[in-house]
Amino acid sequence: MTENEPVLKLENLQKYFTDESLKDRILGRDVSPVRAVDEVTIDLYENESIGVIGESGCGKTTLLRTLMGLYKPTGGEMYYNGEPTSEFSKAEWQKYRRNVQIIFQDPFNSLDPKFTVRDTLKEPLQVHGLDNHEERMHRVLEEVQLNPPEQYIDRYPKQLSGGEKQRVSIARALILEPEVILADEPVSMLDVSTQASILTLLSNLMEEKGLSMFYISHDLSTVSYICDEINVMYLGRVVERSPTKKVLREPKHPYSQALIDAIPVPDPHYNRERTKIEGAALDPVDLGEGCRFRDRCPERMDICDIKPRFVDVDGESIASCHLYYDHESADPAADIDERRLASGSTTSGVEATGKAGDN
Amino acid sequence: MSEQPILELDDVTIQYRTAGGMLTAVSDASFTIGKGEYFGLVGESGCGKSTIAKTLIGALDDNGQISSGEIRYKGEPIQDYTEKQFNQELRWKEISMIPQGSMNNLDPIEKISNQAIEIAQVHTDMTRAEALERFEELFEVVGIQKSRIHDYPHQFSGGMEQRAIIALALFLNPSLIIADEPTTALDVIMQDQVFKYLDEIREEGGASMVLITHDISLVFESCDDIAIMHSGQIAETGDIETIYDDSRHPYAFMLKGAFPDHRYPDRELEIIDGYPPENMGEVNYCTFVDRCPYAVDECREMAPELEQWEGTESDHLVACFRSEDAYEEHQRSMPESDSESTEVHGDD
Repeated sequence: MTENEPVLKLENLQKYFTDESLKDRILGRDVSPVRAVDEVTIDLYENESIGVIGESGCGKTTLLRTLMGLYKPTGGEMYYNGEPTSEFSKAEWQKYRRNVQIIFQDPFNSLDPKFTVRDTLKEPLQVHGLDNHEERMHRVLEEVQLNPPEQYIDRYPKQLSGGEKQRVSIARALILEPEVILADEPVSMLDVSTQASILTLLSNLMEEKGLSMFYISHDLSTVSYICDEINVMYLGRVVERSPTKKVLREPKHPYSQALIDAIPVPDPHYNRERTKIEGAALDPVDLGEGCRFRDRCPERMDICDIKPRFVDVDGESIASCHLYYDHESADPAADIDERRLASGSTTSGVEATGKAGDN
Repeated sequence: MSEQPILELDDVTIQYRTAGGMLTAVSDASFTIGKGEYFGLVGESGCGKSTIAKTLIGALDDNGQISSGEIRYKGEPIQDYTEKQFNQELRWKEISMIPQGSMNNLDPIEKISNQAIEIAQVHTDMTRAEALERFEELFEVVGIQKSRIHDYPHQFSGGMEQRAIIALALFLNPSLIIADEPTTALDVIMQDQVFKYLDEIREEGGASMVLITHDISLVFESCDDIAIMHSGQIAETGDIETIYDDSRHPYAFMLKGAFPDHRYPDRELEIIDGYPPENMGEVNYCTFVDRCPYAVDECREMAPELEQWEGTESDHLVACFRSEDAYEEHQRSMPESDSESTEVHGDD
């Protein structure tokens, strides 16, 4: 698959929000934008699932909404099968929306309470003018293991449990036979006993249908069940990209380390130290060009006021941190600049090693 | 435990009046919390854990009632206390509460210091100056600059606001703190910051705590004892090591197996099919029966009682007719435990 083009390709994608009032404009005042997503570069290949992990406010939801086409990027480009989305016509957007489907976080609010399962599944079929409604609906309900479909198809959301609702959301995303699934914390609202079954279902469906997935979450302990590779995001920027198991075992960026060290461990015999990180993340406004994590980072150095480059730390992990490159020697081979990252050569190398480790 | 326990629940049943009849939220629940002990109450949504929390501070919804059983605080039955008694005798100075960290537990238009002063004036005879001094001390305990007691709630981040609430909960030196999902709305780093301070309070040995949560890992890290609830019934209770090493109720060991542990990213997660029932009227069956792979007819005919698990000296209680066989069957069905070899988190 590495020879192929990525299904979705984000190149220095940027989404800034400017809250500029009319008065500011008249007086010619500059308002600093909120840099919700700041130069994010990610490639998503066929049948690959990539996680984006971060705390609230790190820009992961903005990124997802930009991917859905709900926000227009303020910079950079998004390519779908090689075509830049900024030049899409209305018809091309419709096609994009059919092929890129989303599963929302909250199954309790993302289903219309006045729609039966049938209505929920039928709507996308009608919008996109597909036929064989009944057959498609039955098949998709079987795929998400709501068996027998007849028993579920006329129910309203209130007649479904949380896990069943989330299965309906997944069915709604799958019924158009998309190429890409965008999943926004699909298990975080579910009880732990149902979480596992939804995760298993999602990863089996990915496999069977050759889907690609962007999986967005704050929960690092469940992400390993879905994603091959994850991007750790902090205040709008990706700070580390590693195979999932690698980042859990050996996080490279100080922020990834802090994040993983703070995950509670369900084992009373394990003595975990509480976090040493102080304070909370700031708003991504006027933070300058330096590393976004520098004010909370235990490893802070003077150089951190300069924007860190992405470097290949050990052939698997890529981190944007000054700790991992020699600033004296200007050896260009040691760096990975964004162009090389975007071309996918490094990412696919990472992926190949990650896959080999899995099996 | 020769010392007087702080809190005892004895066969407590709590019901809500609904249009469809009496909904039983908590059914014959019993547990005991000793002085200085941190007690974790764990279960999924709707299991009745928050109903217990509300009952303990006399804040049960209007249609709720304690139908039977006894709740004793320091030996004194409190289940029939009136609102006035709760206010005068218990709230804040004896039992305080840390509610869910959902950012709206403080009055948004009142400085935090004024909210503290109000609590002091209603519940104690502290002067204004004494109250402020005490509150400043507590801000330092929870790691916020003392000058910030005069801030408004919106000036704090989520984690700081939750710590300010902890300062309020500690303010009048209560013997029991009820923390209902105190960090659920917080990010993991902030959650850890909050628990760092809860640890410190525990080391000082001042207060006991009931930690109510769906997250079993928080309890395993921070509590002494644990009770696991399923749909109104307490399935199993004991000290955390015993429950971790040797849980016997099918729900308890399955819940443990369903919980992801980032140290073992390859471990298969246990799936518990189905969902908890809605219990109307008297609950004379095990509420886990429809989800339990080990259930027999007996489980539908009467409710299992919490009984001492043989072979342990500690207070390890299990409410299951089939605890022995179920555990063995479960062990046999497990794939070979190779989790140790796939451990990835090679810390320390």
